[in-house]
Order: sequence, then structure tokens, then C-alpha cells
Amino acid sequence: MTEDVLLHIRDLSVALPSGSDRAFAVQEVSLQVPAGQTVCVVGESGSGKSVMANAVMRLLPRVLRVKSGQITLAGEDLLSLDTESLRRLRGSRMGMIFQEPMTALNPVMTVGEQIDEVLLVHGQRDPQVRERRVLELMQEMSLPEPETLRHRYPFQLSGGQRQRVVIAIAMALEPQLLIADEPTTALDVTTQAQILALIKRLQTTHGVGVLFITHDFGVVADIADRVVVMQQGRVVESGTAAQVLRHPEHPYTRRLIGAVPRLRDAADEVTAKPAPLLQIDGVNKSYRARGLGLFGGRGRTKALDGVSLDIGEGETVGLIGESGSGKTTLGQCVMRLLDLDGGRIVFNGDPIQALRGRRLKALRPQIQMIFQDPFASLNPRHRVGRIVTENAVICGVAPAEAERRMQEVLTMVGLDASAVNRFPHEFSGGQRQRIGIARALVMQPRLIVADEAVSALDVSVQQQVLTLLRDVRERLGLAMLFITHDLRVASQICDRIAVMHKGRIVETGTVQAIARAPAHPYTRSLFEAMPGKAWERDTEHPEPALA
Amino acid sequence: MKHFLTRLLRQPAGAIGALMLLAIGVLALGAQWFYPGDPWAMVTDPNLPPLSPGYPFGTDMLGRDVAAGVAHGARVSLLIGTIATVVAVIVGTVLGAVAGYSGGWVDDFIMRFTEIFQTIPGFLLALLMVAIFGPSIYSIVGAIGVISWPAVARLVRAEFLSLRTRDFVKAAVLGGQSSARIVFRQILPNTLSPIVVAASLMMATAILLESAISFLGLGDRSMITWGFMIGAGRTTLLQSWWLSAVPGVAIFVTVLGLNLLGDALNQALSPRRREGASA
Amino acid sequence: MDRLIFLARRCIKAVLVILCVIAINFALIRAAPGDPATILAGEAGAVDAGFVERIRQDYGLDKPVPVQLLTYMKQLLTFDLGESYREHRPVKEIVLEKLPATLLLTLSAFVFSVIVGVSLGIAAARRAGSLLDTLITAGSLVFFAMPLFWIGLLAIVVFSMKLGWLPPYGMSTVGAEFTAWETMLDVARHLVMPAVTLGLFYVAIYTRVTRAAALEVMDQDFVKTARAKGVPEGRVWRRHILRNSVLPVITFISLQAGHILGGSVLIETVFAWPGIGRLAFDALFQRDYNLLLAVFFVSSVMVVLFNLIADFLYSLADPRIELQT
Repeated sequence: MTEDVLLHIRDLSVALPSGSDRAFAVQEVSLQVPAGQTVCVVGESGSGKSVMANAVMRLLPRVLRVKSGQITLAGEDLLSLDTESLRRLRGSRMGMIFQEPMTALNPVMTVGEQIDEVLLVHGQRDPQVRERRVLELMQEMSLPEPETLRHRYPFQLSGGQRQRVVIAIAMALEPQLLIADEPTTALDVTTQAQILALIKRLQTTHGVGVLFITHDFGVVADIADRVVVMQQGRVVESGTAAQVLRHPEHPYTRRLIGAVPRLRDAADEVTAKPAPLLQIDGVNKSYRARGLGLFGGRGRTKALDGVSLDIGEGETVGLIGESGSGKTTLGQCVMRLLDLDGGRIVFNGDPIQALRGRRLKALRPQIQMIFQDPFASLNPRHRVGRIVTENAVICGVAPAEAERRMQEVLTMVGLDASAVNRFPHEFSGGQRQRIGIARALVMQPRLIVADEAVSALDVSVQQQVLTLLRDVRERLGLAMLFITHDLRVASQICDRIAVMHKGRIVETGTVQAIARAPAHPYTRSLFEAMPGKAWERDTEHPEPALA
Repeated sequence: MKHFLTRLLRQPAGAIGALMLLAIGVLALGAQWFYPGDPWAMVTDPNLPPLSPGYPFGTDMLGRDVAAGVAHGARVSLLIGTIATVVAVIVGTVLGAVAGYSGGWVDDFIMRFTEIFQTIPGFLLALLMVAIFGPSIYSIVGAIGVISWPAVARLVRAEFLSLRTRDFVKAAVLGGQSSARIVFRQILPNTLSPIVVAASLMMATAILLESAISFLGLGDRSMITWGFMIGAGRTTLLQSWWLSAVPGVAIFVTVLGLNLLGDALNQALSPRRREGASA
Repeated sequence: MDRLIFLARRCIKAVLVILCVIAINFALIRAAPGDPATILAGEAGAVDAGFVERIRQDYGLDKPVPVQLLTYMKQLLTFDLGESYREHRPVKEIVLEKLPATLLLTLSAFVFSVIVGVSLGIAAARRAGSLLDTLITAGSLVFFAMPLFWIGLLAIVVFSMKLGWLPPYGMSTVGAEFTAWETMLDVARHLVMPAVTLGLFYVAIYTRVTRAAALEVMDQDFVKTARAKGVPEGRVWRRHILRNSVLPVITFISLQAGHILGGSVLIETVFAWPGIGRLAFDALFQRDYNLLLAVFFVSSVMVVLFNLIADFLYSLADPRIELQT
């Protein structure tokens, strides 16, 4: 079948500056985007997929130079175009949308002006024609009240709305090609589903070819016609979506797909309910909104509204929610990093919400936390040995004993003893997360609060860390409060989950029970928005993953 | 450490700056050795132009050696510059740290206070202070310190504000560490680099301020300073222009050296961001 | 509405600053070694004991300290700055007489330095890493390292004494009979050297700040979005990069206002420019602390007013102003 090839990348190589860990960001990469189809480029961090996408529009930073290769759009050679011809193509024949909606728009221009601008710079001189088109576009992107919204500034819109504006700008002149660089990664899963649906709709209506960069296989499964897998700057596999997703050939692809978490078939065992270790009882917390007025205060936002939850000894309870749900706040309240406005938190029989001073310090070793960002959770100026043992020593453990515990724990998390004398920046993200886990374990806690502990990790590393957490939990009989936004990740490790929405817990139960019959409308919407459900269903027994 | 020095000196700015400062430093330390005795002493014929044999910078209307004045003046300038900077950095760091770490009304209060000191015409206040308390090395150092600390406080506060919410600080709280310990052992080591850079630039400003104060006649009378020499040379500007010009060059070299070094420090100390292949 | 509230807050802050300045003045007078009345009387006090007594009465210096502070505050807020022994007239008159000359000098220097400094900074950022950039950056470093008064003296030597192009001292030619137009030209000729000298130092600073601000904005995502839209480079610079760089630069410039008034003391001394800076120098010489305090007070008021204007401009430029504390 002869397909019209819209975008053709041939043997593209982009060099990295000297001193980097490899010579090329992108090496001899070839791919094609047929007209009207979606091609997903998937890979982990460092794969070069984003560099390649930026190279098409020649938007690379100066330090990254195209060494060789060819990029043609509908037959036109993009790399050899002069600046003015390239400028004319940008925005009109090819559009691009980026990852961070927060920073993708000019903060001092209204959103209407920014959409208007793309029309203006491509020759539409009549302001009334432009105005009509702006409103039309905003309508098409399902933006609410376009007439008033267009006079607003980006900071007044939500993340999802901003992304729609960015898409409106990219699609304004009906380009043939739309390049999307991780456009939904920074969005909530429900918003993500809406944006993906929008892009799909635009594709059907306008016949635009889409080059979609992502790391999420679920998204790939839902929208891709063709898939290209990249690793360390090279293409390792490509083909139709059906081929790559269901019958992957390359070992790396298989490993990646194998590492993608699935809604686990946790057995519906009705075990005896363990004695509650942590009881959260009717907790309230509100924040004063930063408002206007000489006297501040536009009112209070309720971050937590009458939240109650129990965690049993050795039990892992998941706390699922999107941004703004209050899950992080609840975690911080449990950790006593924040004070409550109302309610109680009882740990091991004693209320802890009002502890201070020495009694609070005595509590500390028993509840520890693992943080989200492996790069911000370790003091860059301290060596690993100090990071791991410092807190234990402060809480009264003899230094020699702390040393011994550290050695034990480092082995448990799979780190070499030589790590002790090195600094955090010498380790990868996954390794730093292990150091963070070691730091928590050295205290010999009974409860661990994991706040999005694997969200910032690549999918293969994520799988390793989850396995580690499960191991450690079994061995030490730890209870865990596992905070995440990802239902599938939660199903890998949680015995029960609690779904949070706007400061309230709306549903609790085992993952499978809730998945089968979600009671609350919000929970239902979460499940519906999960990407890649069809793929998951159809590939119940994937090819055995090579470890 | 050695790695850091290499990085610093490999930049042209760093190398040149260090060289300039080294020259001035040698001059200052060796003043007593190069030009022993009192720089105010009349040694030879008056009004000798520069490059006269034995008197590379000439002499003034009373026959005093300009080069001796420059050498001895170097000591005073460097001394005042250093002490004033140390004072400003200490005061500024303490206030900035307290404001940045505490937040809330403490932060507001300290910030209002800092803003006020930043808004009012600092140089005039310094003159006022030196005039009222009498010109001496103490009042000058104090005055310069008083008007310089707000910049440091702002900087340190900004650093503390951003570091305070980092996860590793939260981890320290969870480890039972006291606030004092967190401020000193966790946060402060991470703010040292910007403080050092600011200090080098501040020292340059302090030297300029000191020379301005001496130029206006408010310098410590017992010490010879570059500013004073420039001021004293005003009356014979047409005939003996070198009396005002030469000390100015000395100031220029010192301040430029400090600025260059400060810039180079900034480059050498900032975390090297790898432009690797981004995801 | 939000903007009004923002400005109202800034006005309150301005008043607070002025009150603090008065308090600082008061503290200095009291902290100085010796009798406050003698301090305020200055040099004249040594001569005329009656003058010292009158001062003691006027400022209520025999009353308790809090009352003294209130009296002092009331006086300064009504611009009663005391009386000059030398000239037998209110200090207020003397200061207000000389103020316009300083305003002329500092505003000219300011406008010059902003225009030249910001333009150079942008030119440097636009061609970052090029020879032009290196030259501009090096140039700004050099001028930043030179003491203001020293450049002034050298300028006099070169442009007045050796080349005879420009008059070295004063604001106008003494004793000349000019028409209005000729007077303006004469003043302008006298203004060139002092204003440019004062301005050069700040050109250096503004160049650096603008360049740094522009470089930072250049790296941001929305600039990439603009290019991806096909916006021509010139417009990317004007509407996207510049519009966002201008904000930190305005903030910085308003912080520098106090600085430039301090610099005018030096420049007015070197060039014998008849403004309040020169007045301050004379006051130092004559040990007339009261006059010095008056100059400090008036300068602070000027700076506060200037900051208010700058805040207003900033609020026009930044639509996010509601989010300010």
C-alpha cells in the first residue's frame, strides 16, 4: 500500500558537546510519518527522542549540532532551508507543542493575543478575520467562554486549558504535521485523557500527521498507528503499533514493555484484618488562600476535609489522587511535617498530632518517608555515608551501631559498600532513590510513607524500585502508606487503596474490587482515563520479558 | 580543591583577576619593605613627573613619593575593604538566614527593615555616620558595613527560601534534627558559593566607597589612602595631573581584579549542568 | 482594582520609609558623642552660645526622649529643617534652592545611563558569545571599576584643560548676559561632562543586569514556542524576550535610585555643580550637621517618590501584580 509519506527523517545524527557521556544525542536515526497517521516515539530519559523532535523544526539549542542526515517534509528538505523559508513553514505547515504548559506561554501576553500572533506573522492582516479565527479555534479546542477567556493571561488558566491554547496555536493554520513533545506528561490523568482525545479528534477532522513523543506505553497503545522505540540515541525497533506492542522483537523493547506496570491480579484473599498501626480520624486542614485586599485572605481552601483511614501492622495502603486532591498534604500530616486543624492521628495507640519537643523526637524513627524527587531529596554537599546514618545518630543510635545498620541496609537495597564515600551527584536517579530508601530503613521504622516514590523514575527503574520495596517490606514487616497518582503502580504494591478527591476520601477497597465495580463517579472517571486499557486487556499474557 | 582552582584559573577572567590582586597584595604586604618609613615624609624635590629616576610615579608639591603613598595606601584599602565586607557578610547572612528560614511575620519584618536600608541613599548615610562619629577607621568600616549588608541579606534569604522546601531538608526534620542544626549543617553549606561570589564583588564596592569617603576629606587622618591622595591632587590638577591619576589607577586595578575574580568564581562554583541528551 | 490596592500598599510603605529615615536621623544625633544641641548647632555652636540655646528650645531637647522624637518628626514632616546660622535663613529655603540643579544632573545622568546601558545589554545578549558581546562586557567591567570622582577629574584634565572643548566647572558661565535660549545651551554645555561621568558608572551596571536578564529569558520555553510559531526573530525579541526582561530590570533600576543621589555628591564636588550634593560637601566641611541631615532627609524623600513612580510603571508592565504580597 503506497502511503503518502509526510515526514521523512533519514540517518539523522546530532552531536553532543565534548565532555558528555556519549558522542551523539541522536545517532543515525531514521523514521517516517505517513500523512494523517500518528507515529509515537517512545523511550526512557536519555534516549534522544526529544532532541530528534526539536531537530525537525530546527529548534535545537546551539550546543547541539546536526552532524549529518536529512529531514524532508512533503518532499521539502528542511535542514537546508534558509532562515526565512524555515520561518514560513513553522506554524503554518508544521506545528509543535511542548511538555510544560506552565512555561510554554508568554506570561505578559493574553492567550488571545498569542493565538492571534501566529495568524498575524503568517500574513493575515485583517484583524477581524483573525479575531473570528481565534474564537473559532478556541471553540474547537473546547475552551470555555472563548469571548472572555481570550483576554486572560496564562497564569489565570489551568494546566489543561493552557495546553489547549498551545494546541490551538499549533493548529491555527491547519498544518500538515503536528509534533508533540511529551504534551501530557505534566498533566493529570483525567486531563491527559481529554487532551489525547482532542488530538485524535483533530487528526480525524484535519488529516494532520502526528509525531508524538512519550515515555508512556499506555498512551502509545491508545493513539499510535506506528511505533518507534529509541534507546541511547538510536532506533532499536519500529513498526506498526500492533507489531511492536503485541509482538516486540528487540530485547530492549521487550524489557520495557515487561516493566510496564499492569493492574495486578492480586488475589482477593480475605485475610484477617491486622491490628491498626496508624489511625487517621476525621482530619481537617485548610490553607489561607493568598488573596487580594489590604487585609489578605480571600477565604480558606480546605486541603483535607474529615479524612479517616486506618493502616494495619505490615499492611500497605495506597493513597490515590490527582494534583490538588490533598494526598501529599495528608502524607505530610502523618509525618508531622504539618499541623492539623482538626481531628486526630493515632500511632500505635498514642495520639501524635500534638506531640512536641522530646516526645516528637522519640516518635521520629518510627515513621519515615521516601520522597519523590531523587535529585532534591539528598543534600548535594554530604557524602552518602553521612546522609544515611546522620538521622539515626541524632535519634540516639550509637555511631558504631549506625554504621553496622548502614552496611546491612545498603546490601538490602543493592548498593555497593563503596557508595559510602561518594556524593549524590555521582549516582543515577534510581540509585539515589535507593539511597533515600536506605536512609529511611536505617531508622528501623514501623511505618513508611512513600510520597510518589517512583513517579520520577524511568519505567524500567520504576519496576526495580517497586520490587525492592516489596522485598524490603516482606523482610521487615513494614507498614506503608503509598501515595501515588498511578492506579497501576499502586496495584503493584498495595493491599488496599483509598481514592482521594478534593480533600476527601471517596472510596476504599482492594484495587481489583474497585476496578471491577467503582462506586464513586470520580473513581470511575479515574479508571476510564487510564491509558492503554485495551492493550492491557488484549495482552493478558505478554511475551516473557527478558530480565 | 585543586580541581576547583584549575577550573577557576583556566578562565581568562579568573587568571587575570587573580594576577591583579596578587600584584596589589604583594604591594600592600611589602609596603614597609619597598618603601620603609613614613609615606608622608618629604624625601626629595617636589613636583617630579612620573618615570623620574627612582620615583616611578613622581612626587607631589611637598616632595613626597607618590609610589610610597600608593604602596602604603594599598594596605589601608585592602584592610578596610576586607573588614567592612566581613561585617556586611556576617550581618547580612544572619538576617537573611533567619528571614528565609523562619518565613511568616519574622520574614516580613526583616524584609521591610532590609528594604528600607536599601532604598535610602546609602552613600549619604555613610557620610553622615562618618561625619557624626568622627572620621576613623572604625567609623568608616562601620558605615560601609551598615549600607552594604542589605544586598547580602536579600541573596541569602532567597537561597534559604528555595532550599528550605527541598526534600533533603524535610528528611532532616524527619530525622529529628533541630532547626539550628538544619540551618547550619544542611542549608548553609549549600549557600556558601553565592555568598563567596557576592563577598568578592562587595569588597570591590567597599574599596570604591572607602576611596570616595577619603576623597571628600572624611578619611582617617592618621593613614594615607588612595582616595585622599586623589583629593589632595585636585588643587594642582593641571600641573601635576599624576597626583590624582596614579592612585586612581591603583583603585582601578584592585576593583577590576576583584570583579574579574568574582565573575570567575561564579562560573567555577556554579553546578555544571550537563547538556546531555534530554529525554 | 488590584493595581490600586498594590499602589496603596506601596504608598503606605513609602510613608513608613520616610518615618524610618527620620528615626535614623534622630538616632544618629543622639548616638553621636556630645550634646545633641551642640551637634545640631555645628560649627556655629562654638561661636554663639545663644544659638545653641535657641536650638535646645526649638527641638525641645530638655524634654524626655519620646517627646523629642515626636517633636523632631513633626518638624521634618512639615519640612521645618531648622535655620542656617551662616546665611540667616531657613535651611529649607537653601535646600529647595539647590534641589533643581541636582535633579537636572541626576535625571540627565539617569536617562543617559538607562538608554545606553539597556541598549548595550540587549545588543550583548542578542549576540552572546560574539566579539561584540565580549567587548561590551569587558567595557562595562572596566567602567564599573573606575571611581566616579576619578573619571570626573580625568575628564576635566582631558576635555577642559588639554582640549578646551567643555567648561570644567559650574552650571553656567558666570557673569555672562544670555538670552533664554543661549542660557539653556550654556547650561547644556556645562551639563555634558558631569552627567556623562555620573552616568557612565551606571551604564556599566545596567548593561550587566540587562544582559543577564535577557539571557535568562532567552532560555525559557515560551521563546521556543514563539519561534515554533514562525514568529520572525525581530518580533521574538521585541514582544517576547524584551517584554519579559524589562521587569527585573525595572526592579533593579529602582533599587539603584538611592545610589545615584549618592554619586551626585561626588560629581557635584568635582565639577562644582551647585546642587544639594555640593551643599552636603560644604556642610561636611563646615561641620554643619543640621544641614547634612536636611540633605539626607530631602534625598530620601526624592528616592521614595522615585520608587513609587517605578512601582507604578512596574504594575503597568506586569499583569501578574495581584500575586504580589
